[in-house]
Amino acid sequence: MTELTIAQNQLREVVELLLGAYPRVIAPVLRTGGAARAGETEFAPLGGAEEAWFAAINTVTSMKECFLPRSEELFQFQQWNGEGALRSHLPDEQPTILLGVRPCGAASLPLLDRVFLEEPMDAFWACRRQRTTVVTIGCAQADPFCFCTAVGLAPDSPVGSDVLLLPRADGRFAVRPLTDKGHTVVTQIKGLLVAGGPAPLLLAEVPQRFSLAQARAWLADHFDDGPWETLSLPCLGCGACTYLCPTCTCFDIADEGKVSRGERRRNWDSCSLALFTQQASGHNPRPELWQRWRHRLEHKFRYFPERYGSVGCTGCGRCRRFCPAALGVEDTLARIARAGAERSEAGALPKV
Amino acid sequence: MTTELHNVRGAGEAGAELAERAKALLAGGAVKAVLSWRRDLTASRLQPALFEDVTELGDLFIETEPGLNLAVYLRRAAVRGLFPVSIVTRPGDLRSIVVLVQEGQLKAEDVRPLLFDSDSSTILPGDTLAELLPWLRAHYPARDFEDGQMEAVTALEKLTPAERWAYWKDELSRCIRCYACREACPLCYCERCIVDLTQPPWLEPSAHPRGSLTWNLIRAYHLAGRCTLCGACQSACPVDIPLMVLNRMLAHHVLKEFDFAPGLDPAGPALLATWRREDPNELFR
Repeated sequence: MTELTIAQNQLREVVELLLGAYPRVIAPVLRTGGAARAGETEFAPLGGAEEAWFAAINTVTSMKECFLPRSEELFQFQQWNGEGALRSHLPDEQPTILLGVRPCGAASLPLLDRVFLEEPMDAFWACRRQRTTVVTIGCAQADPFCFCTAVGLAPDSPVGSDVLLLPRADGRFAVRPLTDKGHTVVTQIKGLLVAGGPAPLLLAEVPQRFSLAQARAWLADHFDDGPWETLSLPCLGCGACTYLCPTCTCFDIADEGKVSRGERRRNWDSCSLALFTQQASGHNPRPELWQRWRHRLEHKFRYFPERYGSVGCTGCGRCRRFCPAALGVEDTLARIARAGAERSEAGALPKV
Repeated sequence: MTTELHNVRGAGEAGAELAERAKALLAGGAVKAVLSWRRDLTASRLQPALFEDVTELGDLFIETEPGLNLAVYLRRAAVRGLFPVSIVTRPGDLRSIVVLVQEGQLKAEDVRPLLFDSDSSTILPGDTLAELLPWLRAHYPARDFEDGQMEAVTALEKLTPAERWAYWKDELSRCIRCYACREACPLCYCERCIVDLTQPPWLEPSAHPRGSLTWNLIRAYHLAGRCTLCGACQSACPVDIPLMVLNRMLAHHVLKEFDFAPGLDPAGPALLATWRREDPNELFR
């Protein structure tokens, strides 16, 4: 049985064709910051095909920003002498290709759709989702921080993708359109497609380093008595992991400008930050860092699945890869899964 | 930022010696805990660890890249409850502890630092501030401003003010306002940071270029004359802002204008909190 294929070294030509057919193509590009390390990438709209860089295992910042910018204007306001005016612009509807997400990136989109598209629907999110076609490239390589397999995903998972390109052992990609949008994109590159005979896929090995079921069982049992201070000791209480996370979406609303004229903005916010739950009364239900770290774990792995049916994590590993203290949710999950296993054997709560 | 997967190592002989020194302090009761690094569960990075039990102290690991400054954990209640603690430091880290003592955030007897010098790959003798200060003063601040360290600063200072402003606007506009720089810094210890004040707001919280520029410059100013160039902030930054270039530039000006370097005298005056008649006035043109 044959499947559609392109050569792996034809990605540049794919990008050129897509740039000709679509007003906006977003792909990984090399970072240029003053302290950037060689080979680090991030998603950006392409000016030319030569800017795209697909060799990194994953981007540093996630593709979340393509749908939920770090800071966006919701509306502008003006008022004078009792008369007011409000102006709001939704994002443009220009058809957009998001090329080069990994399966762990694409899989976050159906999760976030549950948050943003359920009533009341978020029009800004909906607009960017509707205009975008997600073209995922499966993973031939992983690093020690990847843990997609522990949360039920894999380097070839199709969840959330419109088109899936999977690396084959023969140096080609299998090209799999999965949705109507995906079929439309594949039509644009049909000149490059070659029917290929079956060939094994060359996918990364991502060992499952902990049992999610055991970790989740432990989380359900030890909200109050778990050694949360010990588990959270490395945590600095910054927002880096939450901002890089493809499934974190908490935001803060800020009004800027003057009384007579200004704008209301939506900005990324983080449950790790000390004032995240500060209430107008002055009370803060999570004043301690260990409470915030506990919340992070419980929210992703207990509250979110209880509400939406799947864990709120795709195992991309950014939280541990880039945490200044090398913590990330995986460190805690692996420790508590181990403790859960030991507990069920010994009957006593061991140190983590 | 530090994304390198370390070939995690015990820093060779230094790691074994460090463990011996730490064990002696802990077993002998001189300290109640040791703040150091350990390998994370996949042995791909180093993470901070607090050892209370001498049997847990295997070979200790040392972060030889800037990475984290462990002094940032000295303000945590769980750690303060165990004072005095031993803490593994590099020179920039130890100097930041000196500033904390100088600013009344810590007492010298709260810490028994072990000092690792990456230039010579050795652990210095001595484990009190008093014993370690002479070595620090002999090598700093000169090491901070050697040619190899100053390349980027020198290049920037050759630009016109307009070009330099454009450079910083470009770099600082990448900021996502995660505050990893602030949380990784032991000298950012304000219980309520100026950027978190909302009634009224002093700085725009949005991660747009204007807001981010303001935040980063305000933070740099609050560190001028205090920052000991440990590098934790730039290491923590997820968007590769060259914070150390900014910090080193400020530190260099502090040295030139006031003949002062922080973190070398716990009893000395704080630079920006002290006025002297003989302070230079050429800044005012």
